[in-house]
Amino acid sequence: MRVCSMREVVKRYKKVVALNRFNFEINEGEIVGLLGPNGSGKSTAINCLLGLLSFDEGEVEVFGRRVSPDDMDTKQRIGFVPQDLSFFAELSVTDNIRYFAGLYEQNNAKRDEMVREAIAFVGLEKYAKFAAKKLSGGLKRRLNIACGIAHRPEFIMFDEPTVAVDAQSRNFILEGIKEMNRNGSTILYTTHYLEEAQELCDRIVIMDEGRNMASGTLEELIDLVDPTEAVHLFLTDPSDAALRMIAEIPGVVDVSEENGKTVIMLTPPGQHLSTLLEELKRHEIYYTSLYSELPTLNDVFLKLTGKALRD
Amino acid sequence: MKRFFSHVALNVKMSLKDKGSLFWSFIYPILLLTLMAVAFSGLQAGQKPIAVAVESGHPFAGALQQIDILDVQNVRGDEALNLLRDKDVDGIFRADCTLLVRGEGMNETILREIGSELKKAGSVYAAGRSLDFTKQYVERGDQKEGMLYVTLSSSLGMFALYGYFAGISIVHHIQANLSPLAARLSTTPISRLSYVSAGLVSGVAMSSLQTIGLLFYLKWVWKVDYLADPWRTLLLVLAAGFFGIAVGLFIGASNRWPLKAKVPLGISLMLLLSAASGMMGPPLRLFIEKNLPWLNRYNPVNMISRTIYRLNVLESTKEFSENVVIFFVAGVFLCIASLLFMRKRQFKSL
Repeated sequence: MRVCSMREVVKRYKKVVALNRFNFEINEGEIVGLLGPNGSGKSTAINCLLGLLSFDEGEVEVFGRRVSPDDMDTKQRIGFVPQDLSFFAELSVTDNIRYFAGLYEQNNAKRDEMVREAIAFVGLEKYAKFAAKKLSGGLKRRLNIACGIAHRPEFIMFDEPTVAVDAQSRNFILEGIKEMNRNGSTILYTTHYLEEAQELCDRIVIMDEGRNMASGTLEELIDLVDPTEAVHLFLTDPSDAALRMIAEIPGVVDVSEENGKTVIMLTPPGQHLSTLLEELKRHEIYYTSLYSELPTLNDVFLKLTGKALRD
Repeated sequence: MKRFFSHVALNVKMSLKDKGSLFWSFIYPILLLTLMAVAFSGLQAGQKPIAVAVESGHPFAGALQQIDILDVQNVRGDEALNLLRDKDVDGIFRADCTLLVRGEGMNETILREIGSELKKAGSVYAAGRSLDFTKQYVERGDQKEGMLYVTLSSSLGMFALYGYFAGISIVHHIQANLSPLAARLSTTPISRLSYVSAGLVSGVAMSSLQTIGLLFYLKWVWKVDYLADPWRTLLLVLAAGFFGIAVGLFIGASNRWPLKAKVPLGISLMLLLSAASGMMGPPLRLFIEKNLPWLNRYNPVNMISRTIYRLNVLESTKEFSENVVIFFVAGVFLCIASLLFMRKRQFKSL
């Protein structure tokens, strides 16, 4: 079942085109990542899906209904975790979550159960009575998430929830999102961190300048570029003869040497490393250290947009 | 209804847990009133009687002699003029019942008030009624208690409008294009009308509580009784609190200025209105009442201050009903206008 879709959506801010005939969709049970640099249109897309922003052209649907800011039934089924910390700083963790959960659930017993679950889910049990403003940055992020997911929504939108978060909290958040997905929630996750999209998402949509540059699974996206695996070696004797011999090994498409480091390009990636190592041993070519780099989303992004994702 | 009460509870909790808000709502007003009470009660204690000359043959010479704040010299006409010229007196009550004063100032204003009351008394006397000169004339001119009462009541008028800050805060919680929190709340099935109504109820309650607290503080600590007519005073405070919040809602909803601009705007406006009402001392108030009388007639701080004073010091209900109705009607109008501004739920930009 399709949870949401955007078709040919155009959104302009005066002369700036934030969404340029943007298309994408999410099916039930998926974790879809919207990946793009700052200013690529990710938050604009989410705000159009939430009905907060008007758009100039196109169609936006959530749960098969055209998005409307007055559609309370749809609002009841979705959750939103914004990029900015958005809760009541003076209130305690529990009071904040209780208030947000209470906007969806009026039965006190059910609501309190939701609050307990949400607090446990984000690991804030020890801080339940703390005023939100007294929490550390990472814990505030967790509270920000708890306020958006306490009512057990079917579809949750996360807008860069890990910005400025320490590694420990980031892992906690990503694990939590996977858990929510296992419990049945469909997830839309925007980020400009490649690693998060790679680790978390079933499907990734690459955005740039308001356009959908490509979408698919990680493997499908990597197949879009010339896929090569780069093996970096520090040879004990980087002679021309040795380099010529390496170039003859099956799977090797290029060999180069710079500042004592030899870079060997293999294709297809992930299949020839063991053969390469066996051949080096057989030809008595020795090395002091080695590491391998598989193609990443950044390579895909570079190929599609002509710039690195973090530019 | 349940959600309405949860919004009310939220607002009350936030007000009580926000130390900044508590300071500005409760501690700061007490500090300011204390400073003013100390400063102006000292001035009042040292206030000298007003020197006046009364020409021989003045029909109310005896009555003028009985007024405490006057230092009367009964003299002949030419002597009186000399005294005025030499600045030994601030005014002359002439035998023909006219008043001659030296210039503009607090003392001259008081003398003018007395002079005008004497004229009225003269008419009554002509009609054959009996007169009591022992107390009324200076009181009627709102001058008996001098600077202390004027500054304290003006300050109370200002604090009664502090609901303004609650008003702008309500809008910044619910209008998606004004804050991230409002954007988030707008994605939930929240009812705006319920949220705004709850904000109004809790805001009026908190604002009134604050003003009533100040009234008790003045009564118990400084023996300034602005609670002689408690029920009318409470009604006035409620109406003023409602008006203050409605102004906040209107300023909050009618533009996209950040809170950082709207808060100082409110503070500046209230200080200006309070100064016009006499918070910085009566001279500015007297100047405005002479040159721009309409300004202070509809200056909300002055309306509150004047009505509190009249109700509790002069035991007069003059303008009370009119002012309460004005606050209520203006508040309702501003609330409706604010809701119209807030009707938009989808924006071109956030």
